[in-house]
Amino acid sequence: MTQVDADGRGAAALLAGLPRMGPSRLVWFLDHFDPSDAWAHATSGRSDALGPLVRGSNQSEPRSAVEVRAHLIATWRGLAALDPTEAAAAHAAAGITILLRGDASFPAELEHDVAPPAVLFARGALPLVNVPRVAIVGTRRCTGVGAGFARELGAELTRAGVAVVSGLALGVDGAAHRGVLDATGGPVGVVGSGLDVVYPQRHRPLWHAVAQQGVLLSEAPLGARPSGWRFPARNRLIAALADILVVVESHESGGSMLTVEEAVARDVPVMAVPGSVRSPSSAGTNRLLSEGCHPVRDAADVLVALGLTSRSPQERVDQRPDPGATGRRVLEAFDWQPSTLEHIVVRAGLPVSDVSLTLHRLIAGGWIDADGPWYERVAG
Amino acid sequence: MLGIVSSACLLGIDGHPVTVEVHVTEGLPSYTVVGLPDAACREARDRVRAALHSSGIAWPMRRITVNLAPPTLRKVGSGLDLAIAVALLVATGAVSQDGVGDRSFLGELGLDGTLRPVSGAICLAEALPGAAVVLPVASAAEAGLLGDRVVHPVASLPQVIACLQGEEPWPPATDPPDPPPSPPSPDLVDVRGQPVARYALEVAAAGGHHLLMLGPPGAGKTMLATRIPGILPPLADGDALEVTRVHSAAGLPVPSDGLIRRPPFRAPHHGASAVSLVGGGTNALRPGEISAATSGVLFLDELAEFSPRVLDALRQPLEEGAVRVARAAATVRLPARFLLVAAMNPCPCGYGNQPGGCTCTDGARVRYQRRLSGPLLDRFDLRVEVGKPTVEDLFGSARGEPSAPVAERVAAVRELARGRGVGSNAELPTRVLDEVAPLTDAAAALLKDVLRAGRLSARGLHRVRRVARTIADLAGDGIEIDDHHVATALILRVDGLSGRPPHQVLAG
Repeated sequence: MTQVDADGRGAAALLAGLPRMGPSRLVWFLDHFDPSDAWAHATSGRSDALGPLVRGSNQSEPRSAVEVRAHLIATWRGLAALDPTEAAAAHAAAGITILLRGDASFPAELEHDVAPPAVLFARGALPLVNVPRVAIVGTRRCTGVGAGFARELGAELTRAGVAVVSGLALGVDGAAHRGVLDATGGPVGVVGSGLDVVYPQRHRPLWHAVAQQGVLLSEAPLGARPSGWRFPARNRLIAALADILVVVESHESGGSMLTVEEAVARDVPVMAVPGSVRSPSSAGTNRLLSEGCHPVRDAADVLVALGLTSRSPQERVDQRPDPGATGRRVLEAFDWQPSTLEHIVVRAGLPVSDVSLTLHRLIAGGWIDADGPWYERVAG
Repeated sequence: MLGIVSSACLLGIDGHPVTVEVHVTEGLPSYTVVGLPDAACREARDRVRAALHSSGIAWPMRRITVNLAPPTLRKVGSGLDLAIAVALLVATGAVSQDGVGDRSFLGELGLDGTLRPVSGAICLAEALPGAAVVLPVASAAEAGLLGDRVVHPVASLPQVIACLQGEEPWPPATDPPDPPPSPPSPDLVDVRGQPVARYALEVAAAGGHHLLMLGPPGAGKTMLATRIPGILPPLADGDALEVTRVHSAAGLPVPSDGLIRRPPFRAPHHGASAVSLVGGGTNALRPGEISAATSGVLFLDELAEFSPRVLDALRQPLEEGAVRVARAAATVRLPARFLLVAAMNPCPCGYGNQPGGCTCTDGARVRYQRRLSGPLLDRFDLRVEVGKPTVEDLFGSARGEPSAPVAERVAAVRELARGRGVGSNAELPTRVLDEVAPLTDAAAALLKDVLRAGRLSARGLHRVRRVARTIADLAGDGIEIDDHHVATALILRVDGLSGRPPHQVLAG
């Protein structure tokens, strides 16, 4: 089935897939040309085919600026044979919508952003109008408590009518999306690779669930690999889409901190979840709090910051079986931190055999989660 | 003229009798040795010639043929020097065959005629046919352990010649000197805090269950491992003899009174080759570290740094308690019943198991943990996380329990195991478990729950029962295994290397 690429979307998709075509260069092209003309110009092999000046490459081999230009012009020239019509058909067949700035369904805040995306690829419905949006981000290496909180937060915000945006990464991002799915909502996932390139592999089922029940967004066309530089670029989109950015857990430095910077540059308020001062995965979030971010103790804190009046969360009765006296003593010894058998034996002052049996009962009752030799308390 | 003398040479940890025949005849001076001698054996000519010269006897300028029978057994080492020298003396007529009589001869000759000790003296002495054996003084104590042979310790070739010629009586074996007191083993009292790790050490020593310690660098894993020999009971007679044979054959030092009483502690470096660990080599099929660790402890520090092939070579000995080393010429079976203790970091940065604590990339962590195969990890019945001691632990006033009371408890449990017909609880065969380790209803229920949840396999089930048996023995709780014994056994067995990053929210 051939479709004529009348509106140039196929050309725009191909343009977005050219090597070293970053967001700002793409914006320049689509501001100065129609998409089809832009594609023709870029692949013409002319000396001005690259648009604005190419800065020196940051690869290990230093090359002069002229060499880089020439190499890139030649590479782009070599891709001239690609057919925009086929590209448009391929995207349509994969269920991917190509959005250009100026389209009605192009998200407004991205259109007017300081560093806007020129082309967006979307899979799923776009419920992005007139709905408050909260981005939930955090480290990939989070604790169980952090992941549990992100999931709960995602679910409760969804129930309150808020759209939750995140990045589909391991750890906090994945937990937030799952929380939205728990509350039968539509998660908004912004990713750095092409929408057909699942990354990370472990999130394959989640990826498809988000595409089906929510929306997947990317600046990268079909087949684009999850190259390292695409992730900071994706983080700016998450910050740009958010009304509030919530960081659940972060180490001293990490991707979440970059997202925080992007949010600050756009005057998006940043909130952080306090964590144990002993926990390395809360070092970053605690620092944000010390620098003046508001804390998030539960979903209500976020809803208040959004200016939504909402019912306070209902008192949920803990369905779990009573832990018993020894069980309570062991749970107290946890102090809500991940602990090993040794920590608990020392803090609870009980012999190893009593602690062992109690831990088994608590695991069976859902009070504690075991991850190898470390144990964590589970919130009700 | 022909001289015939009995001797022996070593293969693995067994001595094999060797008949040394020296034939001297008229003809152009030559020296030929047959019977598959190795390089050291061939060099015997030069040592014997110099030793004879130092003893005042000229090397015969005749045609000399030395035969080391049997011809298909590879002759290894320098222990045949003395026998060759004596047979040569008989063949030249310097001493009579009657002078040799029923005696066998072992020993390496120095160029000045002194006799040097041989490796594996006790193994060689066992194989000698005669009623009396003549061997170097330093090897005499070992040979004397056999009890059924007359041992003549000699110091030099001139002394041997004098005895053979009847001028001196053959020296009798003397009482070996008492060995100097060995330095005390490292004591558990030095370990601060860390109650779970200490307990795991006790369970491992008492029941013979292999122990893996995981944790960040500086947690004290090596310190804990070196305390194990101090809590193991001294070797029983049969085991002591076996260990002495292995150590002697491997060329390791043996106490001056001949018998090794202390359980050995072997800690090969992670750069060790498979051959040095398992045993072998082209000629003598020498016992390796795992055989030297029999009835003792093999400690592998930095387990993940060992070559995967080397670790793989351990799997079968762990299963069988012995290792079969095969070469083109021969196959030997060496004992390898040891307690395996290992220490490793869970990931390159060391904090892999702590949720949120690991700073390694996913790829680095998976690559690191993949170096250890699942089957090898499965051999460890005890896997404990050893955390760094806290400041309170290090400066606190409470000192840990010393090794002596722990050693008593361990010895008591080992005694119970002997009563059940095995050396340690870890060796209990599966079929007797119902009889010697019956489960209470509560214990059975707990095990069923864990099996159903998929956290335990069938083989794991039997191992847990054995560990629970040791735990109950240590607690003095009688024959029945109750649920807290099982719970403790399960907790001490958690998988510290799940392969996935610390706490990821699982799908669903």
